[in-house]
Amino acid sequence: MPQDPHELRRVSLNGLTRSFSGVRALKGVDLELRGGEIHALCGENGAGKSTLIQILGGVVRPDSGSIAIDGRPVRFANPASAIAEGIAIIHQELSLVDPFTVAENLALGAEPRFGPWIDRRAMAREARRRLDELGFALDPDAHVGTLAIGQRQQVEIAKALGRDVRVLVLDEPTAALSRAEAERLFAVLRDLRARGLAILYVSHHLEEVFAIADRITVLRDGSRVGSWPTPETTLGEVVAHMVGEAVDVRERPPRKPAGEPLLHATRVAGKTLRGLDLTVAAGEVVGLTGLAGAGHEELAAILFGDASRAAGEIAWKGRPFRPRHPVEAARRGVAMVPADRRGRGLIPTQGVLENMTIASDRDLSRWGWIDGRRRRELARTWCEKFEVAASGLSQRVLTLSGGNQQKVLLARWAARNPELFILNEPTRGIDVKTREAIHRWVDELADAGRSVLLITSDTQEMVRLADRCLVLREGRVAKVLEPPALTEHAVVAAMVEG
Amino acid sequence: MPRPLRSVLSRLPQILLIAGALVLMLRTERFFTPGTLTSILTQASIVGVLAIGQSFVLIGGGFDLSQGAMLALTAATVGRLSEAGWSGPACIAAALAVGLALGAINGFFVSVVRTNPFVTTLSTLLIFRGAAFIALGGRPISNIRVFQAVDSGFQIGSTYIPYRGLVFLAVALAAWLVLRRSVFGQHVYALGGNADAARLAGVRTVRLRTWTFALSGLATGLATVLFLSWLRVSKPDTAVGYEFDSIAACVVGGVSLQGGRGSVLGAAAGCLLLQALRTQITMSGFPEEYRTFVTGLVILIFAAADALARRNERG
Ligand SMILES: Nc1ncnc2c1ncn2[C@@H]1O[C@H](COP(=O)(O)OP(=O)(O)OP(=O)(O)O)[C@@H](O)[C@H]1O
Ligand SMILES: [Mg+2]
Repeated sequence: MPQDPHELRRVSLNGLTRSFSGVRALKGVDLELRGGEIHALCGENGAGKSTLIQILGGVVRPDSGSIAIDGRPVRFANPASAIAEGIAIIHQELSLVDPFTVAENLALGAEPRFGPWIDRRAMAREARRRLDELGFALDPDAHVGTLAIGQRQQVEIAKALGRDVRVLVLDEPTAALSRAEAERLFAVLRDLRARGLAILYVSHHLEEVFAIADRITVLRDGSRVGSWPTPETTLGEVVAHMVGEAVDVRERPPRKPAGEPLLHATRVAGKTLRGLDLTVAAGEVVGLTGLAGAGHEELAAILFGDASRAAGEIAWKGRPFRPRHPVEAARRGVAMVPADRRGRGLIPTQGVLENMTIASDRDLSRWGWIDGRRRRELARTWCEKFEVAASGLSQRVLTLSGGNQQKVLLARWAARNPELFILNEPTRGIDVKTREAIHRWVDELADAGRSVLLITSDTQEMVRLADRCLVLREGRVAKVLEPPALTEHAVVAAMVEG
Repeated sequence: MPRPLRSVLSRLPQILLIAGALVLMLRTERFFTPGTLTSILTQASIVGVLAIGQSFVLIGGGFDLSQGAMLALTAATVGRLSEAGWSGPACIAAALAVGLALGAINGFFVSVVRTNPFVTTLSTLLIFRGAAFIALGGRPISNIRVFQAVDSGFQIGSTYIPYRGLVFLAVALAAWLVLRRSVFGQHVYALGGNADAARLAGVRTVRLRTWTFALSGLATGLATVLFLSWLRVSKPDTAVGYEFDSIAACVVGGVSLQGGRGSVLGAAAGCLLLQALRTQITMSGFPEEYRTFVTGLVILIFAAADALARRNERG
């Protein structure tokens, strides 16, 4: 991707408007991207960020408004025409071909050829080169379906950068990345900026935004509130612009002393776990983290009946616990919110109502018939509690903004009031205000004597919520951190040090 | 694209369905008579019941090609039993039980063994058809009279309402209620929408998928009863191609072959529309051969309308 520094691009979006069946997602938004600049786009869940990006990428057509590149008006009928203009987009929801390898995904659509055949050697070599250039430690021959979500994100980035790119757009790229992975991405972005790319960057992690962006634009309810050069504004101001009010971010509150231990796991082993011991007490929030494949994902799956363990004992509330199906775990008061919300969480064909109540349908029914009124009441209660921005309970769940989809999944299990809640990346893609609300809700869970297993790559969240953090490495507990020793730095250090 | 056009487009299949029905009804005077309408209902009833069973499978993300052959095998079994002197109610129970069991075999392979639904039901299509031959020894059983009582009806005013049509409507309504209002039905939609997510939300997906196929079998058992009450003959080549008619009815009625979407009432309406179309073609004096041609055309038009309607969706 050689860039001519004289070829600085200027992409102007003028008065973009778009509605979806009555919902006005964008109301006349202007935005200007410049070569050699990182431009951050901030706003609450449902503010219209992804819609704007989809217009820029030719995925969605605007109802009105125009796009110009270097003063020349352009019209994108489809994603291909945006790509032809050198605009590469990494969408919020990943779009890789699961059964293909990393190298195949990177080459997709532009495979190196040897006559009519694909030159597999060249393909592997090229993939290796591109991954090395970005500093991503991925195996080009690994099947994408077997990768952890953070690794898939890296494949997506490498794929987007393979073409001749002048404008790079990233919709919440770090939501699934660990701190170290995110730092590596930033180094890559700074390098690309130096090469003259125009970069548009969407994130709910405002510290990141302030660390990397040259200019910040805030959207609220589909309108632009304003744009500022980063040095001329502050984090607090941006939050206030996004939300319309100041958000008071609570420090870690004092917790009640933990109750009696409820979950005992001893020497649990499986595909990645190599003998892990864990105790969780009532009212305790235990954090689990580690690099991809360290074993924390597998532990969650075993506890929720989604994977079988090879060895070890687990007792839950004094009785042996060996769920073979999620429903068995659910019956004993265990719930899990999966990390991969698109693939393993949402039912794309259904609406907010069905998605939110699917785990509670049996409780809401008599003789197998669902009580429709109670069901809608339940959904409405949780929509209010988590401030889900939806046009109604019947809105198709995929048409919700990313953060609101996540809220629906949280509500699905929260509504059952579980005793052990396994939260995988609970605030991925969620805006500051709701993130704060969810953190307070976890505090409430702990206060009410519920146990929480928190799996998060967001170290700040870990420090804010966990009473104890287990850092896993190669299937074992490498380090146990408790406040005050539980700091972001300590977590990151424990994850990587050998 | 302007907004009003977009919302019209997203309802294209339903609009076509209603427009099609109106055009057919208003085309000829004779058509819009209680007599013609009830005869359409009666003629549609057998494939209609099959289509209702098929809807459960399709909505759950599966596919059942074995319905026609299953009907033949069930009819052969019941024919044998009636020869052996079984009573009407006993034969009805037997038909339902045989259908349910044959459907459960499909379900077992698709959900427990995890064979592909297409391949599974294609094989059982051949197996059931062959078994029907063997059971009948190649010789048709005629004059099966056990279901005579079903082949009647009652009079309202000057219109004769046959039971077959009523059974079809009642089953459609019951199936619609089950799918829309019961835990089972809602979970079938979830299963077809995203099976993995449904499992993680506490749905017993293996069991549920088996049930959708078993219900298709049960519907086929019921269709067998209607079929025998009407023709009273059981032959090895009975009901050849009925599975395609039932899938066609579902497609016209807006049930998604990708799973997770559609309504039984749509499938029932689709079945009625296709039958009305056939009746119309016959009544207009076109030769038989046109029926197949036009039916195929109509299915393609509806599939295209459905694809257009989905084009503007996210995801
Ligand atoms: N296809 C669609 N049908 C209906 N509504 C839609 C559709 N696409 C987007 N919307 C609505 O448009 C609004 C803006 O959504 P968008 O995805 O742009 O938000 P966002 O700023 O990216 O939010 P997040 O931070 O949660 O990702 C939301 O209210 C959403 O529900
Ligand atoms: Mg978004």
